[in-house]
Amino acid sequence: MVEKADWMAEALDLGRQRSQGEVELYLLRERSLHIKVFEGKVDSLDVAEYQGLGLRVIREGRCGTSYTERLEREAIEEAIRGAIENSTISPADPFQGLEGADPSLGQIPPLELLDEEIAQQGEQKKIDLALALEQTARDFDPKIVNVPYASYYEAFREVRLMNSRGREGAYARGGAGLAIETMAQAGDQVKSCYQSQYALHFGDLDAKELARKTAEEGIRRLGASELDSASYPVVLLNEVTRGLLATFSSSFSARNVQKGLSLLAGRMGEAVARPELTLRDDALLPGGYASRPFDDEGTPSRQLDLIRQGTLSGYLYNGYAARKDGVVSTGHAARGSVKSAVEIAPSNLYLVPGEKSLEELLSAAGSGVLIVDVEGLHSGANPISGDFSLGAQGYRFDAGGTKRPVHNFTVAGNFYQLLKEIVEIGRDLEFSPPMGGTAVGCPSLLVSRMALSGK
Amino acid sequence: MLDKGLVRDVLDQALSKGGDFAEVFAEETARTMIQYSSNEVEKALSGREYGVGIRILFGRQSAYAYTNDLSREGLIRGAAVVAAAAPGPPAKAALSMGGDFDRSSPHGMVLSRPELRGLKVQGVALQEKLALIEIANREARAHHTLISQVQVSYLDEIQHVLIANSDGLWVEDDRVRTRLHMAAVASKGAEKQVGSAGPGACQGFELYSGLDIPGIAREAAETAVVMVQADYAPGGKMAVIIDKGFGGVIFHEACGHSLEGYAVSRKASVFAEKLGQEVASPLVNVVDDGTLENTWGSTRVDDEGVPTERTLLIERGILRSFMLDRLSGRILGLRSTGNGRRQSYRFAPVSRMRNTFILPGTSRLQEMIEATPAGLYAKKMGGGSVNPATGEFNFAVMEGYLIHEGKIEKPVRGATLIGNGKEILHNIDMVGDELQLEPGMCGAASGSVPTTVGQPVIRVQGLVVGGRGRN
Repeated sequence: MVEKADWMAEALDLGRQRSQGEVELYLLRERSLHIKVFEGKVDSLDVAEYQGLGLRVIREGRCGTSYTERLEREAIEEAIRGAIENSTISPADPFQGLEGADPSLGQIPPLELLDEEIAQQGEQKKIDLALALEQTARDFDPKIVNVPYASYYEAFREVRLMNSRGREGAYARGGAGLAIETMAQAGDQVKSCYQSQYALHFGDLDAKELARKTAEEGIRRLGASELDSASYPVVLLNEVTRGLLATFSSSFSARNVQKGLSLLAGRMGEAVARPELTLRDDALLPGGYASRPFDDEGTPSRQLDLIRQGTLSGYLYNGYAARKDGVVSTGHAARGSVKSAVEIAPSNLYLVPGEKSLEELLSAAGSGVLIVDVEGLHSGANPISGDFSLGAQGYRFDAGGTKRPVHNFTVAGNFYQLLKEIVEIGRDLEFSPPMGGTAVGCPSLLVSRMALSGK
Repeated sequence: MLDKGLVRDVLDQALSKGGDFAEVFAEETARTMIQYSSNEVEKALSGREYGVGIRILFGRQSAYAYTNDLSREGLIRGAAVVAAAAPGPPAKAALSMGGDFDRSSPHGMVLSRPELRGLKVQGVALQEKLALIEIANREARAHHTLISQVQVSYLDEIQHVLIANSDGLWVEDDRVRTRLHMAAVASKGAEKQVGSAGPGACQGFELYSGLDIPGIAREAAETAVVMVQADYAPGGKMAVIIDKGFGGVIFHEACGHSLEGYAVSRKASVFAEKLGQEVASPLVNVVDDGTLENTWGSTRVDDEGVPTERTLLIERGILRSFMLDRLSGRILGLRSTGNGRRQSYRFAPVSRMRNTFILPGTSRLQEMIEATPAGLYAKKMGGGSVNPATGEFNFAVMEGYLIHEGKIEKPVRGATLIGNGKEILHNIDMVGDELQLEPGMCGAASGSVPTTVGQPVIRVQGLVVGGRGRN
């Protein structure tokens, strides 16, 4: 079946005949290369070619989902049968449906999503980049005793969507990245530091700069001592704030609001944060790592403010949640892989930056603790209650400008309270590499007080 | 699922340059997943994963390619890609696969089909699975008026694997797993807390007839109800009593990952040079066992085709073994312990935990509490993580109680435990007499794999408890 150019149209017809309902096909193709180096040699080189097909059928309001990574007629027929069978245990729900044909899809300005140059570079050039990353870090200082992880990777993703109501579209996106972990040692203490870089263009990767930055920060963490348990003014570094934001972004999902799993339910139009704070999702962001013309059910992308100047102004919707609330989808349907059902997820989600540099945030605080790394976001944070308690490391700083490293302490708080206790917003907005279809960015933040537990 | 002649050609192609070992891992996995929320099915999903991973080793190096194009052309192309990573003349030891795959060795064969082992894997109607979910939902909701939402998910899968390599290994196996996960949400005013439970096993649907699903659901609900009414945990260093079962996540995070061959072979483990040395209190004995019948983290052979075994990691405080896959074993000059694992064909195998647990001692929970003047009793644990290079770990307490003068004082929420894996094992000063195992999912370099954690109740001195309540 897949030998034919129009095999998807044929599969769609087959699905429609068999199910007597609405059918959606979601084809995902991926290519990737991942090079790890260790002690001056290629440690491993991984090459991937992937394709998978996701199916959704809706019969009298009953939705069933299935997938196959075997793209042969027999397997596709089995997937159609599976989706139909799955629909039989789903409730008849008038809000289930697929998006109809939409002329506005054609009006989305072309996005620069793919740099063919990345794939065209020779493999040796990429290996050399990874080797330079490791070597620069090893040469930086004798205190760097090991670089257990140094890697180059690139990934391309092509989405093709087609449904029985005439919605159709395709796009491809890709990028490349570097990641490194250094181990610095002084006496008995070993400190690790992990940093990464991501770019849409090969030429924007700077291995030496990343290596120096990581090694330098790793060494700076040496000599860390324990911190007295107390409440301190805290500056959260941009890498930390974006992790927190990503963790709690699920509370903006309209589905979670509808299911009673978000404390933002019923608070639209209320002040939920400091008036200086604007939280935005923009799937059309120029140069955005997660930009795309439409979401994973074909709804055109647009910019959306979730919090506008401190006021809750939007939830993230897919088609189903939108029909349930009688509103228009915001274009945040997400199918993380063909193996997952249609969920809701942000695209390029970011806190709009302020004007102060990190140094200015520290001086605004006077004295306190700068937190540069947290651990345990997947376990020590409760996305429903907003509570978090995380392992942390950072620096105790005072008004005189001295900074001494501190570790083995936790930072505890509540995301919703944090939104109201932010005193200053930094200007150093940086996005994480894309995970699935989401990239999250946040500047460093000064928070009036947070509970830190140490000795 | 693949022809022997084709696999031989693929292995030969993969070794056509400088590789000295080649391996093919083919997989076809059928899976069903049902998510249930707000008293109805939210998602019903099923499908088939299908693909092949081809790997070569050359000295301490490796190359891997995967594809779901299982045609001869697709596989030979993948083999050529990995071959090219090892430039040079073909290695002498592996010029060709030569003869036939070895069917005489105990593992050069097709392991028995699950049906023959009495596992119920097909022919279970979706309605039956739904009925099971509905029991868990009903019981959790009925437990208490504070329960405002219950989410239940059901999973079953049958993974068929074929592993063949240039040493002549040919092994096929079917791994059957099922799991029922439930999360109960308790609400009080603007507060919400979650309690969860997730029994699972390397078994078919017959697992559930031996389980008290209503009891498990009520217990998850009870955690949420207790926690939503609890104060925040205080912060600071204190003695912590960690209960049996999922409490074993502390060993998994604090030490287990640092004993995996991958970290050790990259000199990124606090235990790298410590074989034969004292790394724990003499009360501590730990095993990683891949052979436990029907247990969530068990497999008959690992994902490199090596038979699994019971590996003694720590004996009376002395480090006896790492957990090794083929490559990390080769780098360290040690044999594989059958710990080479991967989520699917989309990952090269690395050393991963299976069923890892602390062996029972002699203490009882009640006497441990009575012997603790002040501290925290962590009855249920959440997840955690670790940096193996430094040993720094963290994990979350799902249900905790303050201990005051040898008595349980009150429930506390939001506690996190942090510390260093090098130190915590020395600080275990009491070990309980009753072992319990719990299934979980562990995410690392080769993806998310089913692992079991476990332990008897233990007491650890001087852990940092992170909380935000007042002491």
